[in-house]
Amino acid sequence: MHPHDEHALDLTRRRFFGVGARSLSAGLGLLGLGAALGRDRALGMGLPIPETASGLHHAPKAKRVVYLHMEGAPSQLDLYDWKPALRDRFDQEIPDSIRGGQRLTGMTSGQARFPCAPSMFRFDRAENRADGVWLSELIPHTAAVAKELCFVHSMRTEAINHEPAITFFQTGNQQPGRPSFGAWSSYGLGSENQDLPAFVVLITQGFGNMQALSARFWGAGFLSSEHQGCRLRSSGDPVLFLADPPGVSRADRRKLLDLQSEWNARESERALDPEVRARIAQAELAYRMQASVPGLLDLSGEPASTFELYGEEARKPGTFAANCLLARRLLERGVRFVQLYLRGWDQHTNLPAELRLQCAAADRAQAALVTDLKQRGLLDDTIVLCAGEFGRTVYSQGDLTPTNYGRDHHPRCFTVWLAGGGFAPGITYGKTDDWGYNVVENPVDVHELHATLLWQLGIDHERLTYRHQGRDFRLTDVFGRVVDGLLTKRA
Amino acid sequence: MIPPTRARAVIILVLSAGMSLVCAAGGGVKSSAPTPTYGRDVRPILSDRCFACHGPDAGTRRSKLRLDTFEGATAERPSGAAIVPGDPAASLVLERIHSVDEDERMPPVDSGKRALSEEERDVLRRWIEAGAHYEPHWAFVAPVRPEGPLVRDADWCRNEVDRFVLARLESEGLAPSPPAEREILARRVFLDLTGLPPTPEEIDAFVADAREDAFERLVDRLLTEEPYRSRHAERMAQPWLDAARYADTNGIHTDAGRQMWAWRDWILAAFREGMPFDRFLTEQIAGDLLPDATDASRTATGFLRNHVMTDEGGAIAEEYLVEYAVDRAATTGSVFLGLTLGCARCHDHKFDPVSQADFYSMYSFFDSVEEPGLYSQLPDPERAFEPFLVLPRPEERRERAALAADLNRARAELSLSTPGDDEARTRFFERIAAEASLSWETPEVLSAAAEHGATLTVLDDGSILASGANPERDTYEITLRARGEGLRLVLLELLPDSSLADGRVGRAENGNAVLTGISIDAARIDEPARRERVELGWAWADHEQQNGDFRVVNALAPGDADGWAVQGHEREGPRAALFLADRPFGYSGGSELRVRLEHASGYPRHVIGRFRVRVARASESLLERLPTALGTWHVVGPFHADSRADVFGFAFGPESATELDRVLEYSSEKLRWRSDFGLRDGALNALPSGVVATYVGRRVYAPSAREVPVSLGSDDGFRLYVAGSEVASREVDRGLAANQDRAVVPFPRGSSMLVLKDVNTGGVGGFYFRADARADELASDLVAGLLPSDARWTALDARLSLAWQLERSPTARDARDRIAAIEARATALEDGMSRTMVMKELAEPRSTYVLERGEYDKPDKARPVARSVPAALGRLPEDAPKNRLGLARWMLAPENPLVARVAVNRLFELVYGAGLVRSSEDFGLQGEWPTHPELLDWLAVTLRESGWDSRGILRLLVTSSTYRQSSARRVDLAERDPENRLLASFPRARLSAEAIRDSALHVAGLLVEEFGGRSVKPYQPEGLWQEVAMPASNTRAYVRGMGGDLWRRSIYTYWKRAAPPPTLATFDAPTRESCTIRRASTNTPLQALALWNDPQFVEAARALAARTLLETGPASSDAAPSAEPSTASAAATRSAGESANSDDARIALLLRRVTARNPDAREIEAARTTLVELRERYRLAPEDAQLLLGVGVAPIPPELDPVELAAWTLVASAALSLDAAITRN
Repeated sequence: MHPHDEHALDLTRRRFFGVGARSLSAGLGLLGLGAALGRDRALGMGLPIPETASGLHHAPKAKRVVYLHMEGAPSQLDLYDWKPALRDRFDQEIPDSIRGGQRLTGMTSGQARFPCAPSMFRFDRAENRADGVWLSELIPHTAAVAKELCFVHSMRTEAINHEPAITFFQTGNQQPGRPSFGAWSSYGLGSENQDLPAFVVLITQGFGNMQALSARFWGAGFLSSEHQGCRLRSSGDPVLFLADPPGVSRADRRKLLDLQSEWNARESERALDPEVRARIAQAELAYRMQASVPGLLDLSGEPASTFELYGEEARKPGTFAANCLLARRLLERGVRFVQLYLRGWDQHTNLPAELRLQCAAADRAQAALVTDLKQRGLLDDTIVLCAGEFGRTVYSQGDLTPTNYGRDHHPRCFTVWLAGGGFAPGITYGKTDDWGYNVVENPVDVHELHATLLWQLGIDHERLTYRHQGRDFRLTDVFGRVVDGLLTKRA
Repeated sequence: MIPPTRARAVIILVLSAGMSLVCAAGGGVKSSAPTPTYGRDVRPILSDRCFACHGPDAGTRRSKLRLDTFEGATAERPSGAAIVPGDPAASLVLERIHSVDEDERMPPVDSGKRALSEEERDVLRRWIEAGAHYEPHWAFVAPVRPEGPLVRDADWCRNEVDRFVLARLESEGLAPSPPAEREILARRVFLDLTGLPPTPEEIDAFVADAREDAFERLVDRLLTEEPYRSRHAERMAQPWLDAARYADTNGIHTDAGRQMWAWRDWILAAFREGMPFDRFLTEQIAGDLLPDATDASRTATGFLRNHVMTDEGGAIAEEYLVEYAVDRAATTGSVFLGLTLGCARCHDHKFDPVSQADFYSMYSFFDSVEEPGLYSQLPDPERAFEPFLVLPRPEERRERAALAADLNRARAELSLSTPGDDEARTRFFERIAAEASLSWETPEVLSAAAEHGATLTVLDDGSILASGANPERDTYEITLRARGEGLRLVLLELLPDSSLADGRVGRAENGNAVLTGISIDAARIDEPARRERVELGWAWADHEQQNGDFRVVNALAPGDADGWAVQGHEREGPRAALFLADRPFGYSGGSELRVRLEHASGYPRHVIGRFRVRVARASESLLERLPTALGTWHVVGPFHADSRADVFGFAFGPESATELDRVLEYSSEKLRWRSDFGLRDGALNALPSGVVATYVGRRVYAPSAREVPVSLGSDDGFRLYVAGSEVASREVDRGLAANQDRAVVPFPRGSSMLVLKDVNTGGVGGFYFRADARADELASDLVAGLLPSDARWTALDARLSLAWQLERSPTARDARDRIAAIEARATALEDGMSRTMVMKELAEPRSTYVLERGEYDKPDKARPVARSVPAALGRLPEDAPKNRLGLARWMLAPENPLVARVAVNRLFELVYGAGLVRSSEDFGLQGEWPTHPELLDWLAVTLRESGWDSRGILRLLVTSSTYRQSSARRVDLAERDPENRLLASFPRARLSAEAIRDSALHVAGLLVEEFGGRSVKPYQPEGLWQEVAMPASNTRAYVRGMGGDLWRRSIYTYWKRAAPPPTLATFDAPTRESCTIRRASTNTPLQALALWNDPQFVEAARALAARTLLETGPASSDAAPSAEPSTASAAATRSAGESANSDDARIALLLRRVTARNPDAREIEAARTTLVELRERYRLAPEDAQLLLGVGVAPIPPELDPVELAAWTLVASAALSLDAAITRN
């Protein structure tokens, strides 16, 4: 191959699969523009080149992320943020001093009263590496791995409705149009894998009130589209159009690919355009993916112990357990960013019954994923993040009885947890007031969480930028800071 | 070894230096002393390293030093001036950037900014030396027509485009490339102008046309003659739809469907007729404000309504009104001005001279629209959201008028009451009253009190009026003295009162009321303590609100939130509700009745305002006359089962329901009854799909035990239960229709539960149910005849009279049926008319303020803004109206520096793959410097002076010699100009997603060409929408289109923003959530997979193969179909030589069709080898051939041998996957 072509081909391959394993084996990735465009093209377009284009901003603590997005917003008050003082405040009005003129959603802004609804669930003390953490009876498996988890009780967000809040959590901005976190990661880090995309998305339908998903949540925004999350589907072709048409065998495909390549090679000789060579290589990759993806999904090689850990549900495609297991298999194969969605946490009414169902789906699987990664030695350099888009109110929406209540959206405080990747294991961070309404210690906002996650990946959030419409955009907009308190030691 | 990236980087830098050398001198004459210019060379350096602290944003400025203005940079400071023009040595800037002292050096180490390179420092030095001229940004100065440059090879130039391009090449010492081969040129211009490749015949015709101006003639034909003209419009519209963020759904939350395609059709028509750009712009920005506005010009304003919208329940309207206006301003800025106005929403623009106040001044052109901000979730996916325009076609207009005339005629017939009608009716009801001993009394009111604060006053007419406190919920308790015995009926009249909102019957702000319960106790007048409950078991009302579970029977069960809503907010006049006691009540000597009226719905203050209670005695015989009352349908399910038999046979639980218990959970899936007012009697109702059972149920209230004839339909089977006992069933596989089965259903007296189990065995489920009247039963409207005459106000009496006629008079019945038919047709006609969202100004514009940090709830009242344009770009013409129309006039004025440049740049980008300004969405300070500044200005001025003839510009661009060059990459340019900025050859480019699909359909002969119309739904993998949509979304189920819908051009494909068409997205189509000016062009394995395996490409390959086989002649025996392909293949019997020739010809034709090129021997041979192998493989496994041919629904010509066709299908598939197939050479 002409050296010029070869270089261009190399670049093009990186556009989909990110950076080759070579640079990563040295512990370094190629940042952003290097991976996306090639330094030359970036320069040619007058784009700024980060001076670190040959590597990360600093030594990373983590290479991979698995992000469990609990869509609809789980109730922190019934799962993670224990408020024993509320027991005696059943049906009492939340004082104005606590609510402090907060804006409310259109769903409860007309409510005459804001009566306190203490959680009906029992909380037990789970051992961690600090003073222990009180967790709900609904999540016993998660409690059992509390030693590995870093709970942040003081998350805050800006949005009060699902669409803008999820868009904010995924892209750093409430309005559509920005790249998702996973896309930024793919842009910044590339992939460790040659046969799978850098950013994979898995969706589980839940039990309760389901909010919408949108391709924008894993979209590439203004980044080039190869950075968008690739959905692995649980029915039909796992990757769109992966399977050959009926009546076409693997041998047929090989034959056709050879014909296609030969024709393309002639075109390449005529056009002298490296893009043709790149297309030949992309077709070969497609051919390899046709084998690698089914292999990824084939669980027959998993030992019985896997299903003892994740539960038999993990055999049923599309369940949260199956997707957690799949996430581990993807991470093992070098996929950089795996995003799971579990829908159905939006319990405005009838919360206790629905939450029980949701937790039954989530608890064991998410704990199993942490345990599994730990056992395989992957947890050290893999970040697990489990988060909804906001929290839920301490006051009840709709009917309130000791065993039945609902909760509206609450942006002022909620709990997320992290594990692995240099996040301090077995601690809790941040505090909320006795009403579970406001953060009183160590608030963490979404930009700060993003900045901290990027930091652990070896990226300075202020320096991972992309110029679009005349402005250098970044995941954290003009905000964010690394929250040292969440980390074992700043990398 | 130096990594290749770095090696090339150096080369580019060298090249840019060379470029500046040419530009600076101008006129194409080389200068030996390159002087850096501020805008191109200096400002990028300062902006990147210095402006953050020494730039336009006063908020972040340090040391009071600004370097972005001449005054700021040259101001005398204690230690001297930062910049001393002409004297680099005295300029402190240079001293600081060169400093070796880390504390001194700029930019500071901790700023995260890179130190200046040697070259950059040199640029600054030379610029200061030359006088440090801060010339204004080129794009903010209005263009003037430059002189055409002198060139050496003038013969090469066909028009001015070439002169500018060649002058630049010559100055670089480069020669243009030779012309492209004619067949390649034909394919290029067909694709660029029409989005479709030429047919072999069209190529041949052009190649054979030896006239000097053959190419110009071809271009003219493509632009102005059908069918090319329409195709050209479709091609031109595609990037415009990206820019205008056009889609068929709202994008947020339920991502509801919207009807907007009339706007898309307006765009298509504009391109087809070659609309001048000034009108194209004006109508889209302000078509509603034109003095001679038409439906068409109003439709064009949909450009400003294409943004995403929300219907999320908790969203706040004010917030979204702001978002929508911001989007309009930002999109207008990007599309027409090439400016990133949106950046100034939260703070002054960091780079461009657009302040935050400027932004809100622009914004205020767009924020006074008659729109609600939030839209409710309605089931109709074809909805246009207010404000919208209804656009009947001429034939629809005519039919509407005809229907109106028919309706008037039928109504006139209906109102001709037969002599004696009224008398007969009176007699009829007198007879009923006599038979039933019906007699009404108005009891005396003893007391009236409200539990939660309202004041109840008894009026002279025996009615009771509520006033005073108006709590969210209230309960009234009144005590009455009734004289009669054997009482059976209770009448509740709701009366309008001038003290109530709008003079309606309810106390809600909108005049509505919801009664959630009525209960009555009776006691002897002298023993008031011994009260007994009067059980009520049936109810009737003259009117029930239709948009929820609001039937009057809900009031029979006090204690819950379900109730009777009277629609007082939308209908005037009184209401009447009639309740039936299970047993007679009332004591001799008089009774004390205690009546409780509850208002406990979720709707605050929906409490009755004025009412009266009356009672009547009646005998048992009346009960047979009363119609059966029906509750709202509820639904539970779907319940899944493993087999069809199980779905029918298995009792999932709800069949045994005897009460409508909405808390009870069925099965492990925890399913519960929920009301669904959308399920209607006498209509085809859809239910969930799959192998599932779904139950619908309702309460039924029978005044007497009775057998009710019902008419049923179901998809597929059904089982019907009353109070847990099966009364009818049908096990069948069928589609849904009305009246598929009839049954007589026995109901006990009082309330009972009716459950219908819909047994679905695949596809969508559904049911039909209608209860028919029994003989002698009064129709619902006739029940009003039982009311005392003074309780029958005019409107009710008119309805009664009508109902009477309908029941009793054959002419009236006939007229009624006709009216119903006409009304149904008229509704269908109106629903079917296209509608589209448009701009409509509020009568009073909103006051606009700067929003602090861009937040909707933080208007800075101290900073109101008026409508105006950014000061740095000019001002609205003096006499222009201060609205969008004035804005459009400003945009089109000769002084406007941006609009014409941006427009011609877009055309240049469309033809050459990249604009003269490569950052075509940003002409601001951070945008790119144009590659050919004079050409850009020449084109811009020419566009304006030609009467905004954008088609003329396009013609210039494609008829130039520049356009006709070969696209082969040149070794001598690969390193000097890898991006082909100089245009020394024609840029090769991958086709757009739409062109790739459309080309495949076209070469396959499948393309269905219909201009405009509703969006269509071609092949798409199952479940893509469902997996992301909310259960309530009306764009949850993707129902694939039929017939021609599968093969329309991609511009007509339905665009759901949350899940855009997957293959188009794979080839870089955006989500259309926000304005996209430039698409990326990636190259990924997913694209290869789509070309191989997406059924629409497999089907296209099959059709391409079939036409290749058919078109190369029935001719010789080798092509003849074989009846027994597996045993007597034609290939096996023919001579090898003949077959090879024929195969070769076919391969050549196939490839020519796809790539326009005649393949060479090597290419043909490769295909022949593969073909022979595939033919053999399918001969041995003909069942595989059948499987392959089964993909797609396009018919297969019966005369073709499946084995042969399958082999050719795969060869065609390989051809469609070629780089040359999806690339424009």
